[in-house]
Amino acid sequence: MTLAVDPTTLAVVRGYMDEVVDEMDLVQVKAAFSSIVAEGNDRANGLFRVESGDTVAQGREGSPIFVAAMQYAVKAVVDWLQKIDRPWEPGDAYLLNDPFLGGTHLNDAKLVAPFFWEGEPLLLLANTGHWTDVGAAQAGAFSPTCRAIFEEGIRLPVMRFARGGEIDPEVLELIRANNRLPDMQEGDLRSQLNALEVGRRRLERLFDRYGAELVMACVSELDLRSERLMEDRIAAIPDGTYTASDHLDDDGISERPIHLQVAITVEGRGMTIDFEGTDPLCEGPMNLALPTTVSACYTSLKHTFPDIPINAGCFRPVTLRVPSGSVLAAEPPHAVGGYSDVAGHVIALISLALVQAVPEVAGAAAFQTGGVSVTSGQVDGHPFVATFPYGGGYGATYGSDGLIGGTNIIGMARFPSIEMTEHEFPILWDRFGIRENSGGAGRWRGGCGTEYTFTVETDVMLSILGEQATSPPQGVLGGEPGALNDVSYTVDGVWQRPAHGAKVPAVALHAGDKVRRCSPGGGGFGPPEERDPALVERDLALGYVSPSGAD
Amino acid sequence: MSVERPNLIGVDVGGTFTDIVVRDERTRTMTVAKVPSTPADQSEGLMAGVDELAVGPATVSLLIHGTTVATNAVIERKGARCLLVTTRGFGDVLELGRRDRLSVFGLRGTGNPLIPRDRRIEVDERMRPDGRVEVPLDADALIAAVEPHMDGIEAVVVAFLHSYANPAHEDRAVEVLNQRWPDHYVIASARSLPTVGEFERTSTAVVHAYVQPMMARYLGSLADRVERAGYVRAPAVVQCNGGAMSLRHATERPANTVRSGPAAGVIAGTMIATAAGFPNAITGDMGGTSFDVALVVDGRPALSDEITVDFRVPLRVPTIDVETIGAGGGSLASIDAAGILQVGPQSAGAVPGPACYGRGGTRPTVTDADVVLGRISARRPIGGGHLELDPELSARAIDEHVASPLGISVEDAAEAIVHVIDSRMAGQVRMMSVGRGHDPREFVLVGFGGAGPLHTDAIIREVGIPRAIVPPLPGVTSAIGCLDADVMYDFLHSFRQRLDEIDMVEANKIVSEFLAEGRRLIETGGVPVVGTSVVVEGEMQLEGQRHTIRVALEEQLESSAMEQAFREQYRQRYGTGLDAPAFLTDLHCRVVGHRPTDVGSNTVPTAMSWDAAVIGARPAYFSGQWQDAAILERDLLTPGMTGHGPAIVQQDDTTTVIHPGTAVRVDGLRNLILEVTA
Repeated sequence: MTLAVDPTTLAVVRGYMDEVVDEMDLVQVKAAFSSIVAEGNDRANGLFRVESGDTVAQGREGSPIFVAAMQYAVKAVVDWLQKIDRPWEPGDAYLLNDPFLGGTHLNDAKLVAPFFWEGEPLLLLANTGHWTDVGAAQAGAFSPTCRAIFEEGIRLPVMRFARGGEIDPEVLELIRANNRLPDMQEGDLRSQLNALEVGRRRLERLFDRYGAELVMACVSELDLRSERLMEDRIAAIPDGTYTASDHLDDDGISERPIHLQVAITVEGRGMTIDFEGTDPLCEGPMNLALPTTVSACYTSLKHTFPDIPINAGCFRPVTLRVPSGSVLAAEPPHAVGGYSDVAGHVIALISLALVQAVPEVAGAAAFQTGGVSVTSGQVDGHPFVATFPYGGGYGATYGSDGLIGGTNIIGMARFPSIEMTEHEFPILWDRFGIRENSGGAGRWRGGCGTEYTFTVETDVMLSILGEQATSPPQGVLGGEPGALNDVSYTVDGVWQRPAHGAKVPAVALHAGDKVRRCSPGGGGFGPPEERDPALVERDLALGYVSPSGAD
Repeated sequence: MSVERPNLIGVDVGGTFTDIVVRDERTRTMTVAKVPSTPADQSEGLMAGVDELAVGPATVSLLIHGTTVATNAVIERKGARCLLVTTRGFGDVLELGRRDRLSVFGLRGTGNPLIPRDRRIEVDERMRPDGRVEVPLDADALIAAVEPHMDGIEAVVVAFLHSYANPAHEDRAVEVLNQRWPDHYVIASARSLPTVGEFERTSTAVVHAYVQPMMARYLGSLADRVERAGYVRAPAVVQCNGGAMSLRHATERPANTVRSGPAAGVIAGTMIATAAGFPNAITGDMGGTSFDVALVVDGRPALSDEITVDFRVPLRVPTIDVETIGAGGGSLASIDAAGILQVGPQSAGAVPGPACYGRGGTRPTVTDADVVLGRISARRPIGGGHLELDPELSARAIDEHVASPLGISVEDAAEAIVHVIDSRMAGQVRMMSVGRGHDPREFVLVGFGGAGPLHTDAIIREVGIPRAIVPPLPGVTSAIGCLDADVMYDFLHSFRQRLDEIDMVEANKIVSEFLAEGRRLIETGGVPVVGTSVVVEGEMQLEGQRHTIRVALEEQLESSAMEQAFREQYRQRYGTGLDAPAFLTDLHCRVVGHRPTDVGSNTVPTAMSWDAAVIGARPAYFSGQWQDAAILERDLLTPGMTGHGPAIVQQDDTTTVIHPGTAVRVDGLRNLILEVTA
């Protein structure tokens, strides 16, 4: 560090940058056209180092699973420009959605743009947004039977999307031509550009006020402080090795469960997370590209220690070992469309290992299935794609029952208003409520899952990509597991269950058919017989638990 | 102002104290009283305080008040026993919310709905999104379903899907419930908030119902007392938007009073800072139980259209944006399981209060720490003659609960308690300034509330704000804000139509009806105003977007002007525009009745030292050592006087602590301007 930074300036610069990325998050959401970004919050914005792609700051309301994945995506652009020896130019923006470069799945498209100050690129601005459609065989692309990335939609490597502030019309047409909802997609893409532009303008004010040297000195100092904070948190965990394991139902193609295993070793101020013993890559879409696995690990640590600011510094004290060729280190051309469920399992596994070391801090497992359901069809000749996030029960923690009907732990999706979905899609909801008896029993009870049924009012295609139909969210320290995921639907009025657990490949439903989803509850904490009898009475009175379930 | 009735009374009913200000509009002189709140019936303490000021009822033109009664009821879950009637299949909407969690990172904690699951009744009925009936409502079946649950119920909420599109079922349900239970408050969701979004609409109606019975009892009792005392007008009530409304309107829309006390404080803080020449201010109001922070940029308080009263308890009402944390004079200090000192958010409240009150409280509070440190005089406590403080009880409580467990001296423990609470408040001020992209060095902190000026200097030192204003009557600032609050009535109509498809004749009819109703409410509400103005705003978006931007519109709606205003604001906000058609979701109308305002006379300051106001000295503890602090009497401080810390300024409604290294001057409006010099 060449410049001494006084504590007030450091706090101001940090606060300002947090504010910039938060505002970018907000602008993207406010200007978006798709429900999945506007209400599902399935997006993230950040600032990154121009030379390395390292994270400088990331929006506090961004979807957690992009915690580290964004850094991979930005680094992919940095590497590409180095490889072809092209400099950053003002007004450029690069686009990619390749999950092997930037994590998650093809639906998450990243935009990366430079921030220039006095003729020099000093920082990078980037964001990601979930595209409702990516031109896959199945609308919305949550298909449980894909065997290769090629079936999951259009795959975009790093490509220049805008030059001198103007969108490249040919790239835009390529995207539109590969999309069922080209207008919505273009609107969302422009909201991503809006967010980058607002971020750029706000940064100019910061640099104008404090000067480049001071701002960049703050960036380095903040990085170091995050690293030290993470080390302090690790140092407070007793040294030792803590393990946990679980399995995924199946890969959507065979019926064989997929084994996941983790060993966390804490030694002084360092931590190693090792996935040795995890099953090899599967044939279906239940694989994670490495950036997603890394992101899931940090998401879990952030859920455990929420006060650590996100930047490259907080990633340093942790060493990750992911066996190559395993289901957590997918290479092309493997399919990765089930990433959200696998990532949820990784997040829960780390918590299940840590709870043995720090029972007051970590907790029992929350539900871990994204279980996204996509319903698609046409109304008056206009195509629609309805993608719904999934709510479920959270694990109990020391001193508290689990949350009832929480959002997926990998993200921060808010369920759209039921009324809005009925305005937009030809569906009518029959019920949306608490799923009784679904929270794992314990001294503190796991949160209940949710239960919903809707009726389609036109012919549609239904696909569901879900998990935990055979392996429920685990309880800890004597607590019991939550209820399993339960999916059913009617075809011409006859109730059916999926052949593979909670996975439904494209099924044709007709007007009047119904879809029913009962999400898992969270795991319990501590032996159920230690539960306060007054709380058992209350659970019965409120119907969270039925008399048979209270025994 | 009338010659016979020159006095205005402003009242702020807080969790611990009730503050009362009487202002003689002829001379602008103010007299104040601070009396303990009486939670069982807040109007009792209020009237006792007014009586104390011996203002002849016949001389009072109006009593305006803000209150935390509603807020506290929600946060402490002490509101009415309510019943919620919903569309079959959707009784859990209130509890599930939008299926989110408490914070983006962290998976702990759970919800606590205002109406628990066994008091949520589902009935057969269903509207479609376009307002057509899918399943008719069976009113007899509704009564039969509700009947067995009505025992002990005080209020009923009816919240059906798509009622904003067609309120017929909700209205019918309210009608039959009112017939059967005429004494109950019954509210329909679409009548409280006629917009799409079942959870936010239901929650808003539920908050109204949850606080209505206690607010109705309280306001009714207040109106009775006021009338019996011989006042000519019914009291007016401040809302969270910073405007006043009639008492009758407050009884119908009681949730609008949620956070009204803090809003009135922001109104006063804004006027004080602006008059003192600081258009950019942060207001920090520290009372007995909470610390409220608001941001004022260019003389205007930041606004919001939703209050998150608690997790999964949204309240959609127009509001001044005030952030609150549990930090006040009554905040309790304790040592947690890990051996770490914690201060707040729990509070000793009005009863038993701090240990030094001698009312049976044995746990140490921030006030006890301030007493031990010599900052509060035991013989001249806040509230004047109501209490004699016992420093021995403070020392004993701190020793037992903090000093002994930590193995440190009582003074050091007291200073640690104060430091912890100051850091928490500084963090909140930082969130409101730095966290929103503002440099605190360009702001002034307006420190008020009964406990605020004790801690204002420490907060600006920690945040890096160069100066603070301590107004002449900091302990009763919210009550002063009530005196000058304009009268405001807000209206909302949901359109959800493309701009080019809206029948403008019809739309203008709606606007003029709203404005006429607003003017009627102002005329009949009994609050004298000097004129009215209107604000018309549209929630607009590009067709297909989910979110809106709020666009200021002309009173006379005109399609192309609306389109242009929207496009321009959209480009300003997002950098680029799009060709998609403009879409109007909701139309907001506000009618404002302006009250006469006068910030008071600005005396020309003279340069003189403050020795004339020094009445003595006593040891006070700063940074680990006892130092001799000058004791000053606030009444003796006149414009132009200057001095420096360590010093303690005493007055009836608060105590101002000036740290070593802080310079002070008294400005022409008798504000203390604190400036950090070292």
